[in-house]
Amino acid sequence: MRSRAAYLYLLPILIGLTVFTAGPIVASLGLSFTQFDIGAAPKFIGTQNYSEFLNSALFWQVASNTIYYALLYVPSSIAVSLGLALLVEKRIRGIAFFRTIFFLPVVTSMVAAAIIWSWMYNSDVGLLNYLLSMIGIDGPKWLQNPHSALPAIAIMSIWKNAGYNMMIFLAGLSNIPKDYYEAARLDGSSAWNRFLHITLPMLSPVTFFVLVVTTIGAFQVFEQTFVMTNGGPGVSTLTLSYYIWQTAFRFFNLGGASALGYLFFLLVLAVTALQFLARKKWVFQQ
Amino acid sequence: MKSFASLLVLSVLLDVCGCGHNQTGTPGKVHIKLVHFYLDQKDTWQHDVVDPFMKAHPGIEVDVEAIPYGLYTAKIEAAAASGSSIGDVVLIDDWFNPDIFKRNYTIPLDSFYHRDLHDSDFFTQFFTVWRKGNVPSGPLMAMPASGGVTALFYNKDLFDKAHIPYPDTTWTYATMLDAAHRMTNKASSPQDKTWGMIVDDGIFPGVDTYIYSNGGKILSDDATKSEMTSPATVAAVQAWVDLVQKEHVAPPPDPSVNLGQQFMLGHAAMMMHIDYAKTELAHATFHWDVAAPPKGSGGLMDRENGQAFGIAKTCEQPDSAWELVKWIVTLPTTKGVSNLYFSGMPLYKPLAYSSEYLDGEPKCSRRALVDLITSSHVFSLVSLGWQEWRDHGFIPNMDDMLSGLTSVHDGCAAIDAKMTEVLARNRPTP
Amino acid sequence: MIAPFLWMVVTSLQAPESLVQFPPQLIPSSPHFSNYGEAFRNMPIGTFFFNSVKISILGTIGEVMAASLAAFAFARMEFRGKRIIFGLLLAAMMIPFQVTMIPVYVIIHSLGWLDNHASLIVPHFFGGAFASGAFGVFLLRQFFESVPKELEDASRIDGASRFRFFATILLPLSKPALAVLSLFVFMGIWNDLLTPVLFLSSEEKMPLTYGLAILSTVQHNFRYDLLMAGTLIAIVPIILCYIFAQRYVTQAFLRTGVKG
Repeated sequence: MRSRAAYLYLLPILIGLTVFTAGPIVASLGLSFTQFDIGAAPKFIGTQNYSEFLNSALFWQVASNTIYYALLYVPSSIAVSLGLALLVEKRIRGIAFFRTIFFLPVVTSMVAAAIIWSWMYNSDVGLLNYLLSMIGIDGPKWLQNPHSALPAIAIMSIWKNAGYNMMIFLAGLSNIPKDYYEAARLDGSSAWNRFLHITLPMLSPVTFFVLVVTTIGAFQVFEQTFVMTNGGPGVSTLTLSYYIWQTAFRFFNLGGASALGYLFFLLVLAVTALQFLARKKWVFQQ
Repeated sequence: MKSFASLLVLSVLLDVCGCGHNQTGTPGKVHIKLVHFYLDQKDTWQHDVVDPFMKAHPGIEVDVEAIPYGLYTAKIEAAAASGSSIGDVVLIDDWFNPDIFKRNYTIPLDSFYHRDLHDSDFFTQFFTVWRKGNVPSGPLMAMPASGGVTALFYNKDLFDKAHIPYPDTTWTYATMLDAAHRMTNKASSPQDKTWGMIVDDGIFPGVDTYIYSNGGKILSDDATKSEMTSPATVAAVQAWVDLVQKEHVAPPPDPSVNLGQQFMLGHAAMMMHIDYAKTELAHATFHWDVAAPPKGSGGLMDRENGQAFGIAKTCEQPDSAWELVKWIVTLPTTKGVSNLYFSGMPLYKPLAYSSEYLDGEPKCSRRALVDLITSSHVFSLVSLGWQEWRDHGFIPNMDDMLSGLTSVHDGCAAIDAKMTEVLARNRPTP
Repeated sequence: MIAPFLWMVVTSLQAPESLVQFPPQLIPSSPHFSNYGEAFRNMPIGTFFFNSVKISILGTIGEVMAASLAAFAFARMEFRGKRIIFGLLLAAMMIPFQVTMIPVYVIIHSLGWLDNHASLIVPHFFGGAFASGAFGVFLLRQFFESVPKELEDASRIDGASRFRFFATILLPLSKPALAVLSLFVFMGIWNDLLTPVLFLSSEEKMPLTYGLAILSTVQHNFRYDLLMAGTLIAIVPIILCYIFAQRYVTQAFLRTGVKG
């Protein structure tokens, strides 16, 4: 049953989309075909920005860094958050304390978190290698080694964001009617079975949301690089979002940055579209 | 429904009453805006620079905005895109000045400068970088205010322990290497390890001063070509890399921490760093001092840095703006000068030689650094697109070379390739 | 899990001289509670705090309102262009802010909102200047969809308008989701440094994140004690919001579920 009233409900968002999103997106698309020097009018240069980036080894390195990071981060982050949510779901005394503890990293500023973790990861004087040395392990040079730097950032990000998705999962878990569990228990079903056949399916719309949003967020990882590594060592932690920032505001190449932004958008769009296509296979609709 | 409506009304009310009208300022006065990025020196700038200026010039009112450095150029570009500028008197850093000047963001100041000031009062060696095109004949696009040089920072306690005399003007890099060896211990656990020195990978001066002092070059003098593959340069880079890989007197750099961490922890005896770093050492737990860098086979070459103040093209009151620029640069009241520019050196000689600056906190041999200017040749590494070839060419490859992942030959070639590519893309406009 | 956070607290209590130490000192020898007072000493901390509270609360109200209205339309109504608009919303989430930053600045400039809190608050009533509302619409849509249709049908049969169903039945039932969204939106605005620095100029309009930025500047480069103390102070309001929001989420556990 079609509804015209729907547009009224959509009005605020629609206005926002038109003014703040559509305009800038179209403007950026236009800019991506230009060379835009501040203070002068943009100069049309066709697809030169795009061909320059697509032909540069650095761009592909950055793209693969970004994808690698997402692969490391997304599954682990979701698993950890879900695990935490299941842990703190129980209504036992003092559980609220743990919920708060797990949420604290989310709330901490990235600068502070980055400093703490940089110290922890420091191969000479950091806490991690210190603890490892106490049990006789020679810890790796976490942030100094191009092979371990990106995973190190991923681990730190998981720590920082776990509480975020945990909250969403908690809200989702709260929506599952307890009667289902009661009925299953009366039927003699094990806890694992209940998890597999009640919790997961009932949670799947929320899980889907978390998956899509976390993936987009992973591709957009920016603050960690901005505060912690500046893309180093070498270019091992240089991700697309940061590369765009550098191109726009360090290298004064706004046309190029817009082109990068579109390439980035296409990449994320493709991944998100795949997720939506696969949705029917596992997401349970009421 | 009711709660929605009341929420809306409440929001609007709070917004309207709490917002604060935009200052239109006192009528009858000239209004100019000063913008800088010395975020944690805001108070000094307000009380010791701007307030005295306004007192001396009652017809001019100055608004000040302090922007975090990381967001500074972003805001400049955003304002420029909408046809305005972030301020009238704008602080400009030499990390991005060629790009700003190329795009005529500021007005030339030669006529003002020649009318009111004298070359003999300034360390004019620092001026070329502030001229359009990086040539001595180019128009002066911003008034140079502060300069920094590479200094040799050293830990006096570690020198005392090893009975080595402090660095002085006779030091060569050979002397430094020898001292570094004697102060590097063989301990393996981090808490006992001491390094002779710190090497950097190009973010801050260190390696470039080393290269130039040993006869090599990174950038051609006219800042348009790379010199990374010249034999002298490659040899110098090899020697620098050897400090880590062969001589083992320095740790490989760690891009995730502020440069000089081992030095700050008291675990390294020396580091070559921009002399602004003295501010960071204010709370050091050991005794330290600064000295001029050692001489190399190419003499004493020292990389300069600096900041300058430009007058934006959009400024409607350039005469008043120039008065402010002149005041900042010559600071007649002198007070507070050692807490400006992150303790960088003023380029106005009376200020640089003032006791206010030389004896300022944190105390160290500032005179040695001021004398360095007159006794050495300063060079600048700034070119169009500098940040790009530095961030994507110089630093990553230095990182790899210092960690032993790339040979010096390959690393220098890769830097050369990147520099050439970026410089070609960023030709100066005629 | 907690270790890094505990270390933050420990660092915030260190004396500046004993900060950079190795091996890491896990318990400070003489706790410097004065760091908390000193962190923001030279700053108008009260003004910063008030600005943060104002911007965050108003922005959150606006964004949650806009998002819940739109989410309701997506979850419960059919209309032309439904898929396209939802796709646009998702696309808006995917465009990196670095790219739209400058055009958005130009728009704010032409609206005359520069150096005015309106630039930080009003966009949220329409989904945010950087499409942050898309997240909220998406989140709430998932939750609204899980509420059985029978409930709405029942209320319509009783003669209630669609809006009344939305406001008096659906929203209260969705408290957990609304609480979580409000918390996230609040947090996003509270911790944002880029938007205030970009759109504001006067110091007296700046929020708390600006104060923290001061603590991260060169002269404070190794004053981690002050930075940690300042960060912990800035966290307190959000923790309070969190505890508040948490209660809504846990209250829902008491329900036995929604059955038609």
